[in-house]
Amino acid sequence: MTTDAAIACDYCGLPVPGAIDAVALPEDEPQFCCFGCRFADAIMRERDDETTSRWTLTRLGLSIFFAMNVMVFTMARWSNDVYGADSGEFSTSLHALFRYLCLLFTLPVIGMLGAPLLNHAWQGLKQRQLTSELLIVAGVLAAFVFSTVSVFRGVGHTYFEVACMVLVLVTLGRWFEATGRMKATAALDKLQQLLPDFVARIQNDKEQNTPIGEIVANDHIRIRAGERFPVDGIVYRGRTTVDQQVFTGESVPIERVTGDAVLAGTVNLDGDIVVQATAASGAGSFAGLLSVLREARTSRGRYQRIADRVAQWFVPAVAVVAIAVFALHFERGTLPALMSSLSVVLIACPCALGLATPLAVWTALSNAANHQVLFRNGEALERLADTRAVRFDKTGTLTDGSPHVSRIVCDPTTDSALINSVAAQLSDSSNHVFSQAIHRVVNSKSTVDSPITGIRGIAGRGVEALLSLDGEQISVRMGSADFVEVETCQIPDNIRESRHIADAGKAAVVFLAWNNRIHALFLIDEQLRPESKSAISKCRSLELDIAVLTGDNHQRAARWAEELGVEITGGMSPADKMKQVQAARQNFGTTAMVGDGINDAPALAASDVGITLGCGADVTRDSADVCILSDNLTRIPWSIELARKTRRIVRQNLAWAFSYNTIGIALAATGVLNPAIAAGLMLASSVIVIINSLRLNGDADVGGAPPTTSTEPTSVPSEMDLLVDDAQPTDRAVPVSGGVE
Amino acid sequence: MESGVLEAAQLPLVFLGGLLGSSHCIGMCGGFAMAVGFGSKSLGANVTRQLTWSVGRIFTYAFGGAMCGFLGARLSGRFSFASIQGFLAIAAGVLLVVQGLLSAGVFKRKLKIGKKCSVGKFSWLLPIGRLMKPSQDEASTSARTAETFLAGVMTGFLPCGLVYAYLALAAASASLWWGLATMIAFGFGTVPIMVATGAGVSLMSLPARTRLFKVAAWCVLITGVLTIGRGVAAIDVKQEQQEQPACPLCDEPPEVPDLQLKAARAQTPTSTRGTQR
Repeated sequence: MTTDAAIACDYCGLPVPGAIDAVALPEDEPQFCCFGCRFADAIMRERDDETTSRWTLTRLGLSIFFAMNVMVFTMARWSNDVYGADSGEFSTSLHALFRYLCLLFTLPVIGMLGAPLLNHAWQGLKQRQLTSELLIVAGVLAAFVFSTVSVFRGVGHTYFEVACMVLVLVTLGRWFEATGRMKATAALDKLQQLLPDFVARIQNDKEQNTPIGEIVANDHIRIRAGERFPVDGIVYRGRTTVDQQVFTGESVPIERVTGDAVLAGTVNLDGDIVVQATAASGAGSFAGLLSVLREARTSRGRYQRIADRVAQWFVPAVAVVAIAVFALHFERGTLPALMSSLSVVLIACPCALGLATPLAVWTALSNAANHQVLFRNGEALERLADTRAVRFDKTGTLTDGSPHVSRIVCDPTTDSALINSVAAQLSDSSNHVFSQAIHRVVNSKSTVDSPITGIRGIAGRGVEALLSLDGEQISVRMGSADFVEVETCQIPDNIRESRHIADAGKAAVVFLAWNNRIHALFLIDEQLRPESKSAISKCRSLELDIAVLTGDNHQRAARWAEELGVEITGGMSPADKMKQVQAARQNFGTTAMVGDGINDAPALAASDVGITLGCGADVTRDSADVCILSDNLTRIPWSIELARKTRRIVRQNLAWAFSYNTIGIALAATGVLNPAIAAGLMLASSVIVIINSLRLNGDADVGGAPPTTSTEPTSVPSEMDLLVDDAQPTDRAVPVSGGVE
Repeated sequence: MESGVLEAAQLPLVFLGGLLGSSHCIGMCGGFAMAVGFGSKSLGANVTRQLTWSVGRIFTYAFGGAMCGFLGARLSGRFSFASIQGFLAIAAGVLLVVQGLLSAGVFKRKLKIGKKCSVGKFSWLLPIGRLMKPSQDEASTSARTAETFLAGVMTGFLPCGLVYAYLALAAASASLWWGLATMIAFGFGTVPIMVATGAGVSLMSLPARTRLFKVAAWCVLITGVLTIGRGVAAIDVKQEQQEQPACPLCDEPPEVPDLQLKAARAQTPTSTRGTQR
């Protein structure tokens, strides 16, 4: 994985080439990746300095105007050459007048468009970079000087129209490129613009409009209805509902009361509240999201490195070819030779080469981010496109993240208060979804004082601890059948019965055992996410090898397999899952692992592309290559399709750029190409690459239904919002109390 | 160039057809016209600004006309075996007829304004708007005029079916000067109602305007039909010339072979210059 972060361009946000090792660059000055960005920034950005922006634009407009004049006069002269039947005195003097007029109108164009290009070339030279701008400006200036000499001598060809057209087209072309790049990276800017510039900070009971950058932790901020939270915080006063769509993709609002956490970037829908900041601006969840995006943008993938390496040699190589062409055509005269080499320089399009990859990758990353899918870097996108097999974790991934205890069966001979107390303490120690489910139903009932020590969680299997009971230290285990060694234990009849029912169905069972006796059994129900089936069948239609790995026993796994219509391997410990992933890599190639990032971390790490679901606000928490902020599983096939389409478009772009340049330069070298036409072709080439890349922005043809807001409790956005649903089957032994954790 | 009589006769029709621009293009250019006038202190100042803007537009049209005329000339000079001019005339005529029928309301045009005119799609027009925006600091009047003029120049490049139809007509004239003249006539045709729109004046009642637009639409149509007819005639004559040299559109038979000869002769220097350039 390569994430050599580079300096991002101030306009388009793509990495500034060559800036990685350039320490000499001043920090505070805006950096631009190319001439186009510098120019576009001057025109398009709303700046304090409006006159500069207007002047840049006026300069371009005037240049176009003068260039048009030069064109018409030149055409008029050509018409005279061809059709002027009478070569009388009038015609001759008109001819001469037009030549002088051309010279006169070319001068301002050279000054207004040539000077900025020259300046850019000079900046490049200072950084010891040979830029294509330098070659172009040199060619144009030479053409201008020779043409001027021709005018004053009264004989010889003039190429004023070429000089004008080249300058105008090159400038326009660079500007279009910058605009295209900006469009590709618009998602991040859109996100950044979500946060307000000023916030109402409360100090000494007075509100003050404060720039967002000055907010630090523990500041109190007033947020009115409809505003976005500028920083992470806790509701200090008031109550409201919050739209967390930016993180979860869910449009269902969530209630927030005093003491609840709120996230930067989410929308305060209807309450006028005061929030105590828990993080300074620039830290916290939203900043994390932005920094992930920003890092991804400046990282270089495989294709990008190929293109970079070629681009490094491209301009010098073109310079050499141009000089060779000049020498070759020299016998036809200095000016024609110069024109031929200028054509070479102009038609050679390093931009198409340089744009081919980053533009496509960046458009795809932005598109993904708009759909709550975050790629760590462009390389993750490339690897996802190569994916042959996908392994899913079941719990929390295919099923929703909050299983609930549907039934507790207790040993009738044991004090139920003791069971409650032990279960409460054991379940409290683990983050496993099952533990949390148990904890929710037992915690309020622990009344017996039974000290438990040395709690140890074994990932994917259970929890064990020491219990002081009647002055004795005995080992207590809570977990799967294997873990508590059920077969060696005494099992009360009612528990045995329930267990049979459970094994036949899909419910998971957690045992609580000590003294070689099962004292309690927790039946845990999970619900498939509504979109699991469609997501899996979609993945299969992408010709991926699909399998589900679960810690459930084989019988239950078989039931799930039946329902999902997919191979499910049961009885997997986290280590087994990792081995399965490794096996898949050997058998099929690139393998992606989808999990919730909690108990499948080893498997995620072993895979080529780790995808975590429901990252929500915590994007920086885990190191998965792809984070899906929402719980929507259909984003997985969607992302794979997007990745494949991106790979296709990158390859198309590179193929185009290479073949265009090869053919174009060869054609120009023969001397049949007018430089003005070459400049136009170069512009067209860039536009083709840009338009092709921006196709990745439209999501109409990349499948994947948006998350539907069904009436069922589809998903739980984050730990902060565990609303346990009560409207479930009524045969519960223990009523589950609804509430906010 | 001896066929200039016909082109000259066409200019008033072109001018009338240009009047249509007001009905046809108000959707796109009307907004700009209003923006140009925005913030001017008096009606007179506004009209001056509108005229400046229109002159900019006409400049671009004229440039386009000259280019197309030149290209038409080049093409018919280079491929003298077929009457390029005739084919160009037919193409231009068809375009004009289609535009005329569209404007006369014979075809129902599918307007998808909401989808087509989304701001994002036209974000590249922003610079034009920027030029029109009154500057904050009191810039000198001459600078303001220059900016308005340039905005007009840029507006002239906006894609517009009607402009393209007349550019095709300019190409069919196969002469730089007649192409230029055609587009200037067209440009002047668009001035009155464009200025009126921009100045916020309604010169006529709605029914009157509708009737005028109808007339303008039929003008375009008639221009188109005439152009097609001219093209067909040119091609016919060209074919007859294979056996019996005769001038296509004028009364001086000996001129034609001369012209063709000249064109053929011109080819040699043209092509060599082409390679040199």
